[in-house]
Amino acid sequence: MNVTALDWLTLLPALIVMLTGFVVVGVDLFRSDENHPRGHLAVLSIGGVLGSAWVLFQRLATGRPPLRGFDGAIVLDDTACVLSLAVLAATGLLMVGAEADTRRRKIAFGEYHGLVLVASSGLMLLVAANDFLTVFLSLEIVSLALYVLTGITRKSPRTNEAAVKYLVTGAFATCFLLLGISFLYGGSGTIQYEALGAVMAHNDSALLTIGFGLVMVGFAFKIGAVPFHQWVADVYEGAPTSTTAYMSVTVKAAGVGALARVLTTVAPDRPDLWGDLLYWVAIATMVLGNLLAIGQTSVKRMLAYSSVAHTGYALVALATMVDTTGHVTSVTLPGMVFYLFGYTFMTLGAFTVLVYLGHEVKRADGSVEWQDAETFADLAGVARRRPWAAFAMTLFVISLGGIPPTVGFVGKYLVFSAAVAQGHWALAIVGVLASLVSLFYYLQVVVAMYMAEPVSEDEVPNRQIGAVVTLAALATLLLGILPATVVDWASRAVNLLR
Amino acid sequence: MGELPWLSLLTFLPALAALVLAFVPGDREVKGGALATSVVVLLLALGMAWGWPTDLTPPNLAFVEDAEWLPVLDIHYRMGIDGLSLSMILLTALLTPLAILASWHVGEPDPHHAGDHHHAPAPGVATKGFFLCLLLLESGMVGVFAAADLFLFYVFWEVMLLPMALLIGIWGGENRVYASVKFVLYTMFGSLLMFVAILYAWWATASVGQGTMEITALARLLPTLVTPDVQLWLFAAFALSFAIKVPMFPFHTWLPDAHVQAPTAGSVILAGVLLKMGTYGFLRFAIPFFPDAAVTLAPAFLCLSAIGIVFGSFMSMVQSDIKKVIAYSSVAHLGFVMLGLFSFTQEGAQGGVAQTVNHGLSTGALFLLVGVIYNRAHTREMDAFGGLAKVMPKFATIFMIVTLSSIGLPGLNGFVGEFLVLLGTYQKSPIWTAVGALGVVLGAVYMLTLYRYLFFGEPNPRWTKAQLPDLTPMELVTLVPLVVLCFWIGLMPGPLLSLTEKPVAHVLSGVIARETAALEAP
Repeated sequence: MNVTALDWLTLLPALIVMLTGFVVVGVDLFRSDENHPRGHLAVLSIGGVLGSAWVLFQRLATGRPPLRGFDGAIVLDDTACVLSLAVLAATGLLMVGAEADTRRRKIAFGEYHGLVLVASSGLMLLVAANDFLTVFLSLEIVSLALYVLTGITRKSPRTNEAAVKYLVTGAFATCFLLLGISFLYGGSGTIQYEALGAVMAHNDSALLTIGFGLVMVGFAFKIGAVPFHQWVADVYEGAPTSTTAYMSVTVKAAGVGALARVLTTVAPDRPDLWGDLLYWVAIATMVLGNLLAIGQTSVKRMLAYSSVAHTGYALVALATMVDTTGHVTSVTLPGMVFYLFGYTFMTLGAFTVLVYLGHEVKRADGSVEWQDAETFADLAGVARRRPWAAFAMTLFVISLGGIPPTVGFVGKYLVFSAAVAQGHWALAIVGVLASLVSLFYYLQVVVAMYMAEPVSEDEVPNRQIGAVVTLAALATLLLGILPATVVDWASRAVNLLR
Repeated sequence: MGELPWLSLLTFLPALAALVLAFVPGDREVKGGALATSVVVLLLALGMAWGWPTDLTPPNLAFVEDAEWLPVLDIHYRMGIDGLSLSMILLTALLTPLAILASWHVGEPDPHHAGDHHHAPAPGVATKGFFLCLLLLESGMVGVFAAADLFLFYVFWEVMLLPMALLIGIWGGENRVYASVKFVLYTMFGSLLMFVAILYAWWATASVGQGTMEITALARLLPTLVTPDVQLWLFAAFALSFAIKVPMFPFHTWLPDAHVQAPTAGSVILAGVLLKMGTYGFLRFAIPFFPDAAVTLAPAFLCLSAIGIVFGSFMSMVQSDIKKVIAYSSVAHLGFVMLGLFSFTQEGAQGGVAQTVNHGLSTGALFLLVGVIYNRAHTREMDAFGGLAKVMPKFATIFMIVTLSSIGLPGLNGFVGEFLVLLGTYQKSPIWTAVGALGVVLGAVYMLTLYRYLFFGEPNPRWTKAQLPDLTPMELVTLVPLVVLCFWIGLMPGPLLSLTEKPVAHVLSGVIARETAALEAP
């Protein structure tokens, strides 16, 4: 196969990020001195992210037609661009605080940056993947990096446990996906989406149906949709909070985006295979995610369950592609894309506040270990000591709860208005009532910060982490007040459906 | 209209001031800044009233601003007001500086009660947060009344929620966290169902290629585009949200908690402005958007209003906490307002609107007065007082005037509204009018009982004269404007009534046409 310049161009944004990752690891390898200043490497990482983002931004701003590379294995269209930008935004924000974060957690600087960048490049490939082999490869790139990132604080038994859990459940999910892909290949002789879609449209053999079902299970695992959500809380709670912040937003954005491409390209003519299924999965995910989040004593675990619920809101947009008469239209996709884009900032922000309010713990052997803020008690009375951190956290939780003037409100507005337009007002009502439930536990955060007496006051804030929080808060607010540009980009997601 | 974006200025000035003041370290400076801002807002609002175009005919709006916001969903940043909105904005602009003045000593240690932890809730944040919350609240409130786009309205409607919840939850009484969370969840429950109805309303216009979120356009389009059956559901969703806010019986249970736990300024704003958003919502959205449903459901609303009047009155009678008496009296008073609105007569509805303003003035004043006595005695139990007329004569005088205004004595503002409401309702339903009139009598009973407990008889030996000083000049400044306005509206109701006459008539024209059609139908 001849690889043309066009192919490379399709790959370019992901490639920039991946190569940056390699360079950072490589350069860092030759520095044996642990205390050597690494500012320039941090700058390099952010530079790679910004460079890739610039390429994507240029494509969006000039409204270029989609790029199809490698015989249709990778499609860089507007949807892929917006979701890749979301991934890069999360990566960039993480990188701003990563230098301080690695220093305090005593994690290897180079490996951390390298792994995050490689994971991001995998996620960018995932949203552009247009055949099942590419999906599988990019998912593996992402997963391997994330397994390591979850357990990157090697001496902490807790993160090790989370990493093993993630590895086992993740491998399990990959098995489903792979088995499904092989079924699909066996039934159709192709793994390329469009070709597969052409076969699927007129063929309802059991092989294809089972294969498609298994692929859906694999995706449901990865994005943490009910009933495959159990791993989410344990892994998110156990992982270092900055890793949780990163993976909770990026994997969801890319995973849901990839699922959307599968539905719109492989099975647009077969809504009978997924329409009702997603409808009920969306309801179950919203309701169960929100109910499980109530009553948690750990804010981190609560946010983990709430992230399950947010998968449900994104799934509403996918499920409502099928209108009440059984037709498939793509008017709901802009809502999904915007939701995932906005979700990046509010969730990453909320988790990062927990990092910001972390403290140091003395071990029995005299060593000092970093401990993120985690429980409601850790947040108690924060407003008096750190009014801006409390304000930012308030902004993030009201955005997660869907209250204006934040990006979360605009996202919910877009998702649910499309649902109503498709005739699914019942689903919209379930959705808003689920978000009422979510307000109950989000308010507990506000109550703890503003209305409770402080329990401990030993947090050690850091300026870099504070910058991450500030940037995320500004994005949450600005995208809530002036959403037009991003909504415009997201609107082009209707082109996903051929 | 004018070249200046008056309404945007009015709406966002407090929020901008809050942003700037957030960086000012001293509590004193923040207080001063907040007061100055709210006074400027009041002056701006008065300026707009001064330059009000009296020839404005509905559905046209004055001071219109329009800019594209989210074109995909037909959402505009559109501001514009009519006489109804202006009266509410004036009320908001007046009550906010008074609330700020009344809160001047919030968070300061009390010299008389040093070490008395029982009565001094420890605020979780610096005192200046209190004033920032009030400013943000003012922005949200003015925005609700100034918005001429349904999306924009909803944004302001929800933005208000959090500052109010923080005011109650941080600076409130014993049970403040419970009251605050209950307030938010209760309000959000209604709002979220309204949210879905808003989406449906937009889709109803968009699906026929006339997509709009402009309020006047929706009022023109929706009655014809939405079938009466669907109207019932949409009306119910809007009405639930507004009925919770008003609050109508049986959706009132958040109110006593919120009112009693809130700090004085919170109670004043809550009673003075927030409740009015419910009645405003009915007049601006629910009734004009879905007139068929409004006509169908009017008997139910008349009934619930009347129950609210009687229920609120009886509940007021049996309370021992002064603030609870006034809180439940709000349920009764707002029942009156709703009775007038749903009579669908010009007199009734205008009386209802006048009554919202009156209730804002007199109940606002009552909560300020309760705040005065609570600051001194740190109790609100009626039994703890007595003979205050001898100890605090100025306080007693003003309390008397406000009480009389609240129970509707001719010559004071309450009479105008109540009389018009009864006049209007009588044309529709003598029975509910009778119940309403009973409410007037009951109102006199519980308010005068309250007055007797507090002010007559021998002074309670529990208090020394030094513990109960008469009104300070600052307290007088907060109260006198309200008292003056009570007299002014009572003696000269003309300006207020003419301001709201045309908008109310315009809203009613839709429902009256349908009522007549229903009568003429075989």
